[in-house]
Amino acid sequence: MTTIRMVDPATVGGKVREIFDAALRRERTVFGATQISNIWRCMGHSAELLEANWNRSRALMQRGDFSPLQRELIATAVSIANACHY
Amino acid sequence: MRLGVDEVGVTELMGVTEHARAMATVASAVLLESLAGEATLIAPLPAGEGDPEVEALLEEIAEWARAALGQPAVPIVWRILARNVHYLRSTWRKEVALMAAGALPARDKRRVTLGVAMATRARYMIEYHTAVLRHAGDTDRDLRRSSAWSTTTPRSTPSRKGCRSTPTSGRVDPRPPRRRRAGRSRGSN
Repeated sequence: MTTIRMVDPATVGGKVREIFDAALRRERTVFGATQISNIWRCMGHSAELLEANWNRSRALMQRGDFSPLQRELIATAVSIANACHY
Repeated sequence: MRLGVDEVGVTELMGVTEHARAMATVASAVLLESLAGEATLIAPLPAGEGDPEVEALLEEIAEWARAALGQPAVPIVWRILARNVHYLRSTWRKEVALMAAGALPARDKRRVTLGVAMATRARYMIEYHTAVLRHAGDTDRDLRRSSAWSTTTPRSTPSRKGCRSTPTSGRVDPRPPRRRRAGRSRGSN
């Protein structure tokens, strides 16, 4: 249940389409996703927000000295600490 | 939504809130104590030691600081992020994209970030956002309202009456002038 309507991935174009595709490609590789995560769909109303968060997510999760596993472990620990079920 | 903010406005608000929370977390995590101080867990990048992209980004931030804070020093939180070019670039680009006027005015967005910093007790970010708002012309009265919003319970939501959301002379918007949306009038700037 969300407080705003989520963007339908079938109806978007341009920048939003591009980022949805890239995000789905990454999620397919990382955890076998078959459709784009709802969290990106929530951001789809603002291409600027979506792009900024997508780039920041890539910078945080794909660049640096930690391995992908180490990063996910930390992300999971923080989600537990913050009681973020999603 | 009844107040006239649509999906785009709510999405912007969500982004601004999350960004403010992330910045407050970063500032608290590296033990930044105050905007004026230099105490920190991680040493900031010394001046002139970044690669060309880092230096260019820091110059852009200095330009923003000149306009938004009235002084050219890059706030220490950005000099710490400068230790990792990917982190600095993506975080600053996010700041610029999210804090610019959109469905919500830039000043209101900055008030939201102040409210989040207050609610998360991030002293450094409280001082940071307050400095931006004061430079943009917010008075004690305006700041008291941000404070009331961040500590109020839903039951006693204060009225918005009298709280001006008019971006006037000061620049709250982190976009560098005349770089984006060239040709569009941006008031006295």
